[in-house]
Formats: sequence, C-alpha cells, structure tokens
Amino acid sequence: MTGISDILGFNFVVIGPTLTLLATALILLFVTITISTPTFVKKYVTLFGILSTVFAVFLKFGLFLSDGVSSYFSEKILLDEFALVGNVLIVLVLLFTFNSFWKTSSQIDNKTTEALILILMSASGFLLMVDSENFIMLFIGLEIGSISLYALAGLNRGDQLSNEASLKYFLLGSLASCILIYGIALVYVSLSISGVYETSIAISFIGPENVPLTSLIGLILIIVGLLFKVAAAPFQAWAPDVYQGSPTGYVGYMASVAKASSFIVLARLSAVSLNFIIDKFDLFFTAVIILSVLLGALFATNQSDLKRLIAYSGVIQSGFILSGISFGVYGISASIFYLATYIIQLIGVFTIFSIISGQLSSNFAISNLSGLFKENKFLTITFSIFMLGIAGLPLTSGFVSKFILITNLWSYEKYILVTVLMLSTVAGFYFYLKPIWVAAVEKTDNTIEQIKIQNSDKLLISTLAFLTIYLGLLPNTLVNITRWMVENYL
Amino acid sequence: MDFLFILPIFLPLLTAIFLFLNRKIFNELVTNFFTLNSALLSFAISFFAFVTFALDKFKPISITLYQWTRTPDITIGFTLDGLSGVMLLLVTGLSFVIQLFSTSYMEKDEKHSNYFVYFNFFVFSMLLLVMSSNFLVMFFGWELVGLSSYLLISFWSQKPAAAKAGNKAFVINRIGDFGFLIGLMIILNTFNTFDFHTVMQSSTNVSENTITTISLFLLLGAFGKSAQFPLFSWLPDAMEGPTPASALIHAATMVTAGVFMLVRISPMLQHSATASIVIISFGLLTALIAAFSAMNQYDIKKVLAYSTISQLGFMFIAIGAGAYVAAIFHLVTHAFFKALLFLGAGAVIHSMHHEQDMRKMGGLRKRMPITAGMMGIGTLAISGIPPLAGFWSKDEILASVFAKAGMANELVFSIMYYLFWALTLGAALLTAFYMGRHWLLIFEKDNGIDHSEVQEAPKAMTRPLILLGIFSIFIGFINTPFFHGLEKVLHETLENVEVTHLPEGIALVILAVLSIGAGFTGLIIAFLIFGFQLHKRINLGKFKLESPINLVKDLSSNVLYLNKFGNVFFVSGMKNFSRKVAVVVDGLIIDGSVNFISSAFGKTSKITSATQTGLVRNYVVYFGLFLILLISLFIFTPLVAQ
Repeated sequence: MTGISDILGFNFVVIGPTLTLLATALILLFVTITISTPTFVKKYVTLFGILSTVFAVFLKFGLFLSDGVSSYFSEKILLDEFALVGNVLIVLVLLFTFNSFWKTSSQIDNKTTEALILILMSASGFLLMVDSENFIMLFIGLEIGSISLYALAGLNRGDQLSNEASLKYFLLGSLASCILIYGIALVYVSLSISGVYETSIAISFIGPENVPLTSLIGLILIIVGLLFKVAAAPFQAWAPDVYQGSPTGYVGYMASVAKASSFIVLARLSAVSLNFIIDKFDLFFTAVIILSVLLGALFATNQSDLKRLIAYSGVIQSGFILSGISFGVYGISASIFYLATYIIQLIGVFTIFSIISGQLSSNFAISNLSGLFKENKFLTITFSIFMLGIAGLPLTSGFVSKFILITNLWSYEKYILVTVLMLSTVAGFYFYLKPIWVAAVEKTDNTIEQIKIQNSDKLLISTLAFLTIYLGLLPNTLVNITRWMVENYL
Repeated sequence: MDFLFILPIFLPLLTAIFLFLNRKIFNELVTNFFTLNSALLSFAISFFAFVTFALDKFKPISITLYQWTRTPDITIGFTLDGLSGVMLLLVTGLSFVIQLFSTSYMEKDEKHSNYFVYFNFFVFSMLLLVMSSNFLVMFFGWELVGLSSYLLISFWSQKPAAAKAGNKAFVINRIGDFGFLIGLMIILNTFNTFDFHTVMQSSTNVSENTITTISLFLLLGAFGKSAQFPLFSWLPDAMEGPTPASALIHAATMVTAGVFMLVRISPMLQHSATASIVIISFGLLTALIAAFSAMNQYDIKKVLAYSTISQLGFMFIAIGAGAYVAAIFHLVTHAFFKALLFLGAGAVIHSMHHEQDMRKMGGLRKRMPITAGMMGIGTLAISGIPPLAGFWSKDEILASVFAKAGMANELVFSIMYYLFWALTLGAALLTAFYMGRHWLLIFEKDNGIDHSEVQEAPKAMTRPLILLGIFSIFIGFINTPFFHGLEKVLHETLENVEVTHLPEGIALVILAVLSIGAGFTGLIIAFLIFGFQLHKRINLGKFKLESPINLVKDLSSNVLYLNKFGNVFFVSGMKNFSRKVAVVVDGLIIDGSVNFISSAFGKTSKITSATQTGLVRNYVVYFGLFLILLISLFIFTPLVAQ
C-alpha cells in the first residue's frame, strides 16, 4: 500500500471512502447516460459502492493503527479518532438508510440515477468534512454534502411542499455557509491560521488570555455555521419545514448524516481547537442548549404533523448532545454515544413513516397512525420502541445516553442545566407518547389500508429496534468505544 | 459446577410458567406429577450443590448473572454460602414435603392448578430472596414473596374474609417494605453498591449513626415481613389461606425472611448497639404478647399463627443478643416442627370437613392416631422438651441471652439482659402451656361430641407428617453444645462477626435445667387444666378467681385490644386525615398547580408556534437577530464578570 502511495505522491487510503463513493457515483452517471440500464443494475452498483466504502473505512483503521493520529495532503486531511468514528457513523447511516432511499429513488420517474448520485455525493462530502483538518476543507466538504441535500429535498418536483422545502433549505443553508466562511476568514485574519490543531497551538502560544476578540468571534461564527446544520435553536427554523416537505424516504438520511458529521466536527473543535479556551464559551453553549430544549419542547407540544414533531424533537436532542460536547472530555464521549443511539432511532422512525405513508409523501399527520395496531402489530411495537427510546425511557438506549450525559453535567456542577434538561425530558413524554397512544391505544373506526412490508425492511427495522433495546441493557461496548475515542484528549 | 445452585432457583419459576400455560389442559394428576417431580428435582440439585459446597470447606461461591452499571454497582447475582445454603435446603425440602401434602389437601379444588402455580412462584421468590448476593435481588425476592403470599392468602377470594386478609397482609407489609426501601437507598448512597460482601466489609469505615439508621430502616422491613410488634396483626388473619400454604409461607419460610435478612447484615448490625437493643426488646415484646394471645384462641390455626409470631420473637431475641447462629438454628428447627403442626392441623381440618373451631373437636386421638402422635411430637418439640429439636435451639437462645448479660460491661445493661432472660423464660413457659392446651383440646378433652365419622387422613397427608415428625425429633442434633455443626456451616458467613457463645460448664447445665423446667411446667399446667380438669375437681371455696381468669381470657382473645386500638387510631384516623388531604392538598394545590402548568405550557406553545411562519424572510431575521444576541452575550459577559 505504501508503495502505491509513494508512486502517486499521496496517500489514497486516508480519503479512500470518499474516493470510493465518488467513483461509484461517476460509474452510475456514465453508465446510465450511455446505455439504458435496468434498475436492478443501479441498485446493485450502489449497494456494491456502499459496501466498498465500508471496506475502505476498514483500511483507514489499518492506517490509523500503524500511523496513529496523522495528517495528510499538507495538513488538509486529518486521520484521528473523530475522523474514524465519523466515517463509521456516516457509512452506517448509508447502510441503514439504503433500503428506504433506494425505494424512494426508484419511484421517481427518470430521476433514479440523479437521486442516487446526489446521495452518494453528499455522503462523500460529509466524509471529507469529518476528515478535514483545515477549515477550508471543512467548508468544502460541508458544501458538497449540503448542496446535494438541498437538491435531494426538492427531488419530488410534482409536490409543491417538496419544492418549497428545497428552496428554503437552500436559502437558509447558504446564509449559514456565509456565516461559516466569514468565521473562517475572521480566524485567518487575526491568527493567520486555518487548521484545527494550528488553532490550538496558536492559542497556547499567545496565551488563552490574549486571544484577540476577532478570532473568538470567528470561532463562534464557525460554531454557529455548524449549529445550523444540526438544527440547534435558535437556528432551527428550517428543520421542520424541510423535514415536512422532503420525500419521507429521504428524510432519515438527510437528518442523520448532517447531524452525525456536524457533531463530530463540533466535538473535534471542542476537544482540540478550543481545549484551552473552552470555558470562555460556557455561557454561549449554555444559552444555546437551554434555548434548544425549551423551544424544541414548546414547538413540539403543539404539532399535529409527525415529521415536524420529529424535527423539533431533533432540536431537543441537539441541545442534549451539545450539553456533552461543551463540557469536558467525558461529556464528548457521552455525546457521541447519544449521537449514535439517536441516529439509530431516527432512522428507524423515518423508515416506519415511509412504509406507512409511502416514500414520496410529504405530510404525515399523527391521525394517519390511528388504527395501526389493528393493522400491523410489528410496526406499532417497533415504532413505540423508537419513540420511547427518543423519549428516554429506561431499558432503551435513550435512557442510558441521557443518564450518562446528565451524570457528566452533574459532576461539572451545572445544576441549572441539569434541571432544564430533565424538565424538557418530562415535557417530552407528552408529545412522544401521543403518537403511540394514537397508534396503539385509542379506539378508532377508520382502518389503515393494507401495509406491505418487505422482508428487508422488516429485518432493518427489527435490527434497529434490537439495537435500541440492546444498547439500553448492555451499553458497555459502545460506551467503551466512545471512551476510547476521547482517551487521548484528556 | 459452581453455577449448579442457580438451577433450583429458576426451576420453580419454569414450573410455574409451564403449569400456568397448560392449566386448561392438565388434569390434577398431571399437574401433581409435574410439580412434585420438579420440587424433588430442585431439592436433589440443592442437596448435591450443598454437599459439593460442604466438601469445599464451605467456601462461598458467588455468581454474577448480569451487571447493569459498574458505578454505582447494580448487579444481578447469587451467592451460595453457609446461610443461603441452609435456607436453600430448607426451602426446597419443605416445598417438596408440603406440596406432597397439598396434592391431597387441594384435591378436587376448583383452582387446583392455580394453587400450584402460585406455590411454585412463591418458592421461586423465596429462593431469589435467600440466594441473592446483593440487596437489590433480595428486594425483588422480598416483594415477590409478598405478592405470592397475597395471592395464596386470598386464594379462596370468594370468601370476603380471605380477600380482606390478603389486603391486610399486603398493606401492612407495604409499611415494612417502605422502610426496607429507604434503607436500600441509604445503602446505595453510602456504599455505592448493593453487594453484601462489599457493604459488610466497608461498614467498619462508616459512622455508627449511619449504620444505626440503615439498620433501623431495614429492621422496619424485617418487622413487617416477620410479623413483629407492631406490624404483626396480619399473620393471624393470613390463616384464611389454604393450610399447606400457611405451613410453608406463614410458618416455615417467608415469615423468617426478616430473621434471615438480619443475620445476613449481621456484620453491619453488630456495630450498632442501639439496633440490637431495639431488636431484642421488640422481639421480647412480640414473644410475650403473641404467647399471651395464643392462650385463649379457639381457632386451630390461629393458635399456631400466634405461636409462630411468638417463636419469631424468640429469633429476634437471639439476634438482639448477638446469637446469630442460635437465631438461624431456631429458624431451622422451628420450620420443621411448625410445618409439622400446621400440616397436622391441616389433616385435622380436612378430616373434620373444614371445621376449624377447637371446641367442636376433642377426643380425636383415637380416630386419628398418626396425626395425634405426630402433632404430639410437634407440641413437645416446640415446648422445648429434650431431646427434641425445639429444646436445643430454644435453650441456646436462652443461654445466649444469659451469656450476653454476663458480657455487658455496665451494670444497667447487665441487669437489663438478666431481665430479658427471665422474661424470655416466661415466654417459653407460656409457649409450652398454650401448645399443650392446643393438643389437649383437639385430641384429648372430651366435649361429648360424636366423632365416629371422623377418619384418619389419607396416606398422602400422613406420610409428610411422619417425615416431618422424624425431622422434628432429630434436626436439633445439628447444633448441640457437644457438636457445633451449624456454627461450622455459618462460619464463613459470620466471619468477623462477634457471635455470642454459650456459657461454659455448670452454668449451661443449670440454664438447660431451667428451660426444661419451664417447658414441663407449662405442659403440666395445661394438662392439669384441660386434661385433668383441675378446676372442676378441687373446690377453691372462697377464692374468687372467676373475674381475674375471665379478664385474662378476654384480654388474650382480643390480643390486648391492640387490633381495635390500631383500627380506631390508625385506620379511621388515617381515613379522615387522608380524605382531607385528598380534597385540599391533592385536589386544590397539587392538581391545580399541575393543571396550571400544563395549560400555561400549552398556551405558550401556541403563542410561540405562531413565530414559525413558514416565510424565509422571517427565518432570516430570527437567524440574524439571535446571532447578534449570542455574540453580544459572548462579548459582554466577561466584562460583567470582571
């Protein structure tokens, strides 16, 4: 492997997953424009591409074991624990959502290939983003990923809501990108640096007390740019509209991949770049967290559309995850645990939505669920498991993740924050249990039309539900992985 | 093979589930077959595990099935040491014998299979309780035995009295469990673990006040479960359940859970002088009150119920005096002879077609010779007549209290313990008296009622009686002053525990003679009154004894009016109080505030939702405004802080 790298002049293993996805996308593009291909070929090419990406991520682990934390491409690409976990998360999201995004894409006439290419490209962009050491690389990765997502949101052109969602996502997303790049520029202007590690070195060199205000504001703007992507309040306004409008089959992917990569980058920023001056950001983060959980709970209470409800619940979850990222190294590990378990539940919920209401649909009212228990017990039970997991009921992974986050906050003596988070959890039970009530308990005359579940969907949903329960009972494996991830940053 | 002892714990659970699932298919014969074989198998495995354990010089074995979190240490684990080994043998062995008896007693009952489901479930819960290696699993078992006891007490729930008795047992037990739960919370807070071993080892590093607090709360739990004063009134009522169930649950095993638990925590308990005094005084009070109350009962089972309470009091006295081995010893012997007495009573009730009033019996000895003989052995054993089982254990308790008095370093304590000893001896005398009366009233005294139709109980009943009778004679030899068998078994469990030992030499002989004397005296008085009819034969003339005797009788049959006092004071008082609380505190304040919060939250939610206009221009404005707000927050706070 090193031989090839020497000849080429660069190490291709470290960007292997990105390259693999890119290659798959290009193959799909060239094949479909030159010859008319049957759909199953597209399906297996995509699947093969994703599986090769999994393999490429394995290769990265090998590289990490031999080289340790190292940077490549003249300090543009970084290989560290965050990058590895980020890669794994994104690949897992691709694998878990493959079923639903494939079915959605195959239902869009004439645009199946475009949809698949957009998804693969966005994943490659986000992979680049979690690998980036340089802020400019971060920006480029984020843009590649996001622009594909904007297009994905509006792919169902016949649906007005879908068009609206796409445009909104695009307009607000570009505003956030502006802010991010402005922050990068400010940091560069004041410190003449633009790297993750360089920032930390520069701050320790000039002393945490003497950091110029411009660079601090620059860092804040970078963080805000990322907070937009994870839909943390007060930058959450786009999320419900976009979730509601986009084709249901895509939302699981869109929501989880952006959240996963942005949180990984935020975690790295907090653990590496800001580790000397993180206490300066205490109040900023506290404000964002409290706003997130409060606004999220307030908005979610009043929703009659389930996709919007999940979007607002995502705002609350973002607040929770941030509460770990901004307070201590073990908090970061707890956050990554939370992130992983939340993504599992999120994908599960959206897979179920897309099965019930069709992949291309946009609105999904709570009343659509009534009578579900009579029609399909399997979906009702797994849906309840996912919702209870998000709510944080004991025996599910959601409880464990909230528990370790809050114990971490408690050890930092953030009692106000702990109180607010707990209260929002309590309030959350109202709107998480409401859909379960409608689906399982409430007596109703209207019957849901026959739901057909493919075996692959059944397997996927039961795997995700099993993981939710398993990580609630035996969380040690994942906790140890996330602990390993932050060990070097203590 | 270390995990072998786990099997007997879960075998009854599997049996219960199996029987429950097949309750509609199986007839009585099949049900009996499965439940008896399962009970026998689990006893055999227990026996084998215990022998292996004994050959390994009683080295405790611990097994962790599942660990939930490491800090705080929350684990599901089991342990086999001397204490739990003895209990394992006792529970599985008696479970088999009593189930054998039940097959005949519950014959042709409508809910025959339900009975065995509950029974097996109880055995599982009890084993969970005794085999646990930490407080948490013990608490699970503790609650589950409460549940299964409730199910069995109100087994014939069509009888209002049975349903009521079940409720009463449950409610009173809840009071004790409440204390137990608080004790567990303090334990978790203090030691960060539930594990017995760790807690006991680190208990030396904790202040005596904490230990006393924990012990007293746990003690409340033990009082509830073991029916000690003031939480004892549920046990006599619990006799509404099927008699074999009473024999296992309300005589041999469940009610001794409190004693078991206190011995389990003895390494901690010994550091608290206050707790010991509380235990011994409440134990003594219970022993006396219950023995006094047993004197004038006419229900064949109620006498035994009060007797059980009284004997449990003896065990508490032993624990309070630091004689933990003696407590467990008495627990074991009591389990056998009390199970024998209960099953004997069951046989009598069965033969008398569910007649429980002793005044309608009398002279049954000729009709039911085996039952009479076996119950006679039980009576002698409980009265403490050598060489039967009860003598050895009761004598050990009495001698230990006496020895404790000698060990006390202050005169006041010394005198107090001598007083305790004397009163305990009195309770032993009362025990012999009421048990003698019990036997004489059933089998001897001629009431002029024709019992020619009464027949000896079937063999399925008499065989368990004979088996238990043999055990009641010989089980005492496991721990005599000449052979300290049980003490060796418990040695590892009670490591680092200061156990009160028997006095040596002539003192022990004198004490033994005194306790034998108490037993004989009690029996003789009983015989003189109920057998020999002394009061009819001699003319007391001018001594007017009628009114004091009637007073004693009245007090005894009404349990010193404790129940009525409790009813008036606690039940009615609490009812009024809670009604007021329900209206004012709950209705107005709590509901009001909760409703206010939820409606306010809903309104706020509606108002804030209006900001989600769906217009991009608004969103951009929010975005910008909040950004500026956050940055200014960031810039200006350091200035404010400095």
